[in-house]
Formats: sequence, structure tokens, C-alpha cells
Amino acid sequence: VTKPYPLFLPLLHNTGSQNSSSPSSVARQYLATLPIYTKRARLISKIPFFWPLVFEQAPPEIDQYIQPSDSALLAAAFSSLTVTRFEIPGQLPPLFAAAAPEPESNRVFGEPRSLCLRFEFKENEWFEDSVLEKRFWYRRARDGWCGRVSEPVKIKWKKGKDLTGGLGAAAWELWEAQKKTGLLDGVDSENGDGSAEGKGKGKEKQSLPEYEKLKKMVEESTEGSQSFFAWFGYRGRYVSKEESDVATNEVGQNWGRKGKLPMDEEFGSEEKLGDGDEVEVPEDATEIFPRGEELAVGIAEDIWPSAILLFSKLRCAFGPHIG
Amino acid sequence: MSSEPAEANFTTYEELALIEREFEVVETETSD
Repeated sequence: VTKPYPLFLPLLHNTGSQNSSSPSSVARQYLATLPIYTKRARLISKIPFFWPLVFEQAPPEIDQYIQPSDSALLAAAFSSLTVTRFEIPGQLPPLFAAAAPEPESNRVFGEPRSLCLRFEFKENEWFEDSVLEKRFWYRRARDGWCGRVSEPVKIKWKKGKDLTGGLGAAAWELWEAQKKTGLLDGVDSENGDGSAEGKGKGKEKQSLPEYEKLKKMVEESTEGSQSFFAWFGYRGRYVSKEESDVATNEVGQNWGRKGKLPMDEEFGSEEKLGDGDEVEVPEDATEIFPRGEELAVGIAEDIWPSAILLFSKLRCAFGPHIG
Repeated sequence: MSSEPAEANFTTYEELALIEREFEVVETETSD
């Protein structure tokens, strides 16, 4: 297993024993490294098949999601990857703001756990898209659940080439149908209902024909055999921005009563309900890529920062002419 | 996989190694 580049790991996987992280330090590091990543991208563009070769070196936790048919597509067409933490603002406020507790600190410094993974592709025989961009918003539900949620990305597959066997398209169609009928406001919405009462719409969400269709497809599919490209259809739990803001405010108030800054223990702990406390939600039945968040974090933290190291390993093994 | 012209040369790989060093420096300078 490749040792991931350590830049963000101590900050984002802090388990609580080292409370050295804060939104401000993550944001500072993130912004300081942006120009280096830009420089890296310029160099990488000169190396043919850099990203397909890096993905070939992916650790097993990521590699398990890449089927042989995916590898063929990636090798032929995958030209560029960019990972950004898009909720971190471009400019940081004065350092004194670092002392602000959540949710104020996250409002000021942004939520560093939200991710955008942008894949670029050369013209290919599989799909029409030249860019597939997948966003993950870090959200908190009012029952205490925390995690990254996303929206399905539509892939314009060429006839007979859909590696997801229609799963991705069905996930996207359900999402669109739910939006059109007002059952969703989008995880990026500014106009959601903002409360747990929104879950009352759960029954209505399930009455759509698109829901039944996708549920059946998911039931008939075998977990673990899906295409990597089904990951673009991942949604996760539905938690609107408004519900997340309300829940984060509540946590902030509770921590405030304890006289501590919430970021001291919470930030970077990726805390969720315990393993035994998994909450079943209606979205589970139609989730086409249940481990979508795990894969996103794997790419963002094990591949993106370590790309040069992964590539170097291959170059050392096979010499300078691997392109 | 050899159909594309390789524009990378020895300098490209040296520069990549230098970039790794830059990441390390930033990590040190910006950690709490």
C-alpha cells in the first residue's frame, strides 16, 4: 500500500488525540499548495498516460472499484485529474478569526471536507463527455449523522457502451424526477426546507416510477461488481444545505454551553454515528454505489497528493520509457 | 500506449521531484 502524501492526512483524519487542526490551518495549507499543484499539472501534461498509470498504482482500497473494462477506458482516454476543496474561499480572513467556534469558523474558512473531483477525457469510443466533475458536500444531519453527499452526474454514453449497464442513467433520472416534482431541493440548494421535516417527503420520493425502476436495478445488481463509472451516480444520504446549517448551528450552541470551541474535538475527526448506529434512510435502496464517499476520499487523499510518488514507483520499476 | 509524442524529458522528472520538496516545505510552514 502506498504511503499517502501526508499533507492533509494529519489534518483531516485527526482522531482527536492531536488537536492541531483547525479550519484555518487546513485552509492555509490548501491555499499555499494551490500554486504547486498548478505547476505540477503543467509538468504532468507533458507526460503521456500519467494519470492512467497513476491509477494503475492505486492502493487496493481504490483499485477494487476499478473493473477491467474501466481500466481499458481509463488507459485510452483519461487525461487529467484535479481535486479541489471548493468550499474553502480563495482568500482568507485575518488570523484572529481562527478563534471563532463552529459554525462561524466554517463559514469564514469554508468546509475543507467538501470535495470536487474533476476528470478530463480525450475523445473516446465510450462516451461524449470530455469532463466529468463530481462534487461532494460535507453535511450534518439533525440526528447527528455527518458525511459527504452528492448529486448524480449524467454521462453521455455512446450506444451500447454504458459500462454501468444503465444504473448511472437511472440514478440521474430519479434525481431529476425528484427535483421536478419538488421532492428535492438539491444538496447545493439555497432554498431547501431546511429541516428534518423534509424527510416527510420520503414516502412521496418512493412513489415515483423512477424510484421503483432504480430500486429493482439495484436489487438485481451485484455490489462490488459495478463499474467505477457508477460512482458518478452516487448520492449518499439526502441532507439539504439548510438542514446541515441548522444541525451545525445546534452543535455549535451545545459546544458553546460546554465552554469549548467545537473545532477542538470535532474538526477533522470525520465523526459519524458509531459503526453499530447506522441509520437506514430511504436513499439506501436506490444507492448505486454505496461506498461512493469512501472512494472519493481515497482518490482525494491517497492518489491526488501522492500522484508523483505513485508515478515514480512505476518509473523506477520499468524505467524512464513507460509512456 | 506509445502513440502519443512524449514531451517529457529528464528535466520534467527533475522538476517533479522538486515539486515534492515544495509540498514538504509548505506543510512545515503552514502547520499549526
